[in-house]
Amino acid sequence: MTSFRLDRRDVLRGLGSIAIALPFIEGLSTPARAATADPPVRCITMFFGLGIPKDMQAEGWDGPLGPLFRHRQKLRMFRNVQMPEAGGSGHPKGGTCVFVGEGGPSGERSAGASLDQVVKRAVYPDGVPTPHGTLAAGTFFRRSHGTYQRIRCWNPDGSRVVEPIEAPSELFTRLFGTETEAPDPAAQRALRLKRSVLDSVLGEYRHYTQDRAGLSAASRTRLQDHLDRLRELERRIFGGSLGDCERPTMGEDPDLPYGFAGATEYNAVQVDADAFSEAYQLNASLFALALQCDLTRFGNLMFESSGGHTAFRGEYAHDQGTYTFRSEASDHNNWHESRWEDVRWHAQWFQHNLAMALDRLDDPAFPDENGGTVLDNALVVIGTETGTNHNMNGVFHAVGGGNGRFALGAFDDSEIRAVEIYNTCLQAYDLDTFMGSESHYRGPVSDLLA
Amino acid sequence: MSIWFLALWTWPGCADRTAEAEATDGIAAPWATRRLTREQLRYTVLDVLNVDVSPHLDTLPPEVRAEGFTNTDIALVATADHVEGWSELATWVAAAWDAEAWLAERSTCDDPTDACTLDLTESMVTDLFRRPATADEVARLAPLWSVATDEALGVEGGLRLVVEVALQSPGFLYHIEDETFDRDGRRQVTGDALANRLSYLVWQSAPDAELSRAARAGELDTVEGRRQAVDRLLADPDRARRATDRFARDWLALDGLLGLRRDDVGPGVTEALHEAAVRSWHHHLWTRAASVYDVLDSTEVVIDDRLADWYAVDPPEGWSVLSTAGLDLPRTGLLTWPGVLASTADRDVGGIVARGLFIREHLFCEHELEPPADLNLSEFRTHLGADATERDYSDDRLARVECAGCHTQFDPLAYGLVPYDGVGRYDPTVRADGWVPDPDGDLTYADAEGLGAILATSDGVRECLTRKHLQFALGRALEPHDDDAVAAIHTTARAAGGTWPDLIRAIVAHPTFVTVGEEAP
Repeated sequence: MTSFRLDRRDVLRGLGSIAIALPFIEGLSTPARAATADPPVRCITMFFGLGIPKDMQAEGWDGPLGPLFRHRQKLRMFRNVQMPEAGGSGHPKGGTCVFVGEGGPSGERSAGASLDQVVKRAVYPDGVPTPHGTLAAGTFFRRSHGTYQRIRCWNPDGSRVVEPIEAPSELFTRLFGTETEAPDPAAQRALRLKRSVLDSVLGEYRHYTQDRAGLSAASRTRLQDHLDRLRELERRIFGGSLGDCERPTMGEDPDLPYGFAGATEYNAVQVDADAFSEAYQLNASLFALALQCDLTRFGNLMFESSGGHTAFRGEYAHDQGTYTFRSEASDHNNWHESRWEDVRWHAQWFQHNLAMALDRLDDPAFPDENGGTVLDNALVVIGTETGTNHNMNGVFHAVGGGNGRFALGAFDDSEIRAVEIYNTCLQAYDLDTFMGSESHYRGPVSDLLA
Repeated sequence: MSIWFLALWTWPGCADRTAEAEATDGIAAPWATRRLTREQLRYTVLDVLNVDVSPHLDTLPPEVRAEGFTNTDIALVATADHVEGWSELATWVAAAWDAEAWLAERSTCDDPTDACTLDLTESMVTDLFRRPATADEVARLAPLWSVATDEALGVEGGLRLVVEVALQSPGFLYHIEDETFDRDGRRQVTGDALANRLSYLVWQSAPDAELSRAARAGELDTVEGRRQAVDRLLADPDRARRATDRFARDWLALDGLLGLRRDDVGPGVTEALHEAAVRSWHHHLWTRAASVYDVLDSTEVVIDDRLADWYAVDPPEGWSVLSTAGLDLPRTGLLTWPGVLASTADRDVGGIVARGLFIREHLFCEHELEPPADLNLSEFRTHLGADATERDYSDDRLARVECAGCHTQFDPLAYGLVPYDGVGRYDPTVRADGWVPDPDGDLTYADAEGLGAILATSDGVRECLTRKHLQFALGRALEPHDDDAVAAIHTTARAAGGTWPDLIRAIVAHPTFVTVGEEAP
């Protein structure tokens, strides 16, 4: 039986199977930042696939939401979220609506920008001063049916901002890049040449993003986005990419079929539950580090894709005993076939993993200038795609952080809409912008505001 | 026989999303630059530099199938993964490219400090950017030759730097057009931009020297000039199939089969499903030179030994053409191709709903339907018991007022496909009769072949196929203001015979292919 109770300090001391994968944590130093009045504005969304039945949400700490108990003071949990703005039932609608506030015209694009992107553009109109504009990571294995399955960060035009990274080692490389000090002459020469090439490429994009290039505003916008990605690449390759931290070391990835393209109702991918959890926790650790080291301020962390079809092998040890995963059926098929006990334990295991990810965001070893953790200070919105079995009734959401802007520490069972939550968050930050479906917006969630 | 339906049939509870026609100027739709797809990049590098990047294409993320196609502009964004992938790919191509051979053909320049290097830059940029390099561009890249000198790279090394930069530049990665509008807010696409549009439509790659010459001479500015150019491009047997390959793989969502794993079929079968569908499509279009509109009752397929059991025939040697007429099982028409059956079953919602929606959306070009937001689907999936069939569940949906409004529109379309399982195997014991809804009286059929025969003679389906081709050609979703263009192109293409070349000729001849409207404020 494998315990899923992860304690980061225990892991550092080498306990448990996770230890093999997390020695890199030991290489970190406490960041030393210049004192500022307020921590930077950050917004991250945390997604989990497939939803939680509304009646199980109503069970409170005795039900699948139980693992979130230790974070109860730092979250406001909404158990009666309606999402008619999705424009229908099912995963493509819910998957494009969550964090956007309106269902997409198809499963391939959203109806508008996601919350993290709305905040990012409003607060940093000239670009975010971090090596990574937006970061997305997660553990999931379904991408056969559409973009909605894995994309949570959307541009205003409905296109995807960034692909989520699955393999922890890839996320590590993306964050901490390649060595900036090349020890041998050949490597140093290669870096010099790469510098020259990148300088020229940047020059080409700067030319085309100017008014006199003869392009329309829409074309220049697309090339400007490309230029922004190039600048991020430049920062990653040529130093200054570590923010406030020193470069740690990385262990091996858990054994999972990263990049697996299939996973359908008839072809669920089978994975080891422990490995799935490990990968997510590693990604969550890296994601939290990225925030704590100011390598990024916006993005998404995902546990299981929208409409995922993953069949888990192994066991989940919980307070009441042990649940053995039904490896012959995917998590998704439990819903289709009304296997509610399996749905319950999957949902609780999902929340168990989210709670551990929140532990990382709430790590007091990495305080912001005001002494609070990332979870205290960032805008953190947890959400899922569907409610009670593919519909939009009871689409669980939670809001955390906000540096005192929100009234946290409660279950909220008022009938509200996801678009109202998102816009209330914007109002809390005094952002004069609206997102999502105007026709479905009835007003702010006043109880959410402090 | 006309089959028109659905826009008039709106029932309560059906989450209809009929788009409203906007008052526009019709054919002059807005356009914005879009990048090359991964596949177009591969072909362009192959055709211009003779370097095959296939082994390294996975450095780029897979394309997203938006509005049914992977070349839809809205999905062609540059993510951080793309930028990093292009950087890696450019470095690799620049190193792999045969610079020596290129230089031997074109230049005697032997010192990176010589002015002749500017000519090399101009020549390479012209090739990769698919239009004459500007003096500014040559000047912007001139510092690379200083680097080549400082690093003792020689002329060849300097040229490789130019290639590496050019492959990451907008001039290569994007379709760049001069977006200057006239006082009426329109612009005509001409010259190299038009050559690019034609070559990327037919060849999925850069124009060759002859097409560029014709473009710069203004020969493509006439309808007849474009038709002649397209005929020449279509006559290239290898490159012309690139577009039909991509069209089929997108329209029929075939690439989803490549990640399919099944324990109940032999090794390589899912790959065979994919390849057989593509080969059958090409056989119909190119070998038989048949009308696109006749594919729904086509009597020939291409299979190999792995799919022999699907057709109850002896295993052929290699890929072979099989006549389906006279077989003891219904295998006539595109909808009975195992690969198409497998890809259309690849959905959450089961065979009847998934395949019915496929026919509705991709053969009738009807808009998507979604279940109401408050519907609890679990109430309709298991309540009839373990012995209930798919047809039983469909009958149940059609009997419920909360479901019938939508499901009557597409469930019956797929009844003929119920005997075919998730990999397209046929079970003769399964009921297959159904009907195609029609306001003038439902059109009944006995099996999949009967269904295919009805659809093949439907004006609505035929025009939908034209619509799909125009969407593919323009690289964007079509709007209501495109309806007139669709109708005109359809009339022209059908009158000419309806083959793939007929469709392409009709598309490039229509003003919507060469006219752009200024972006709406």
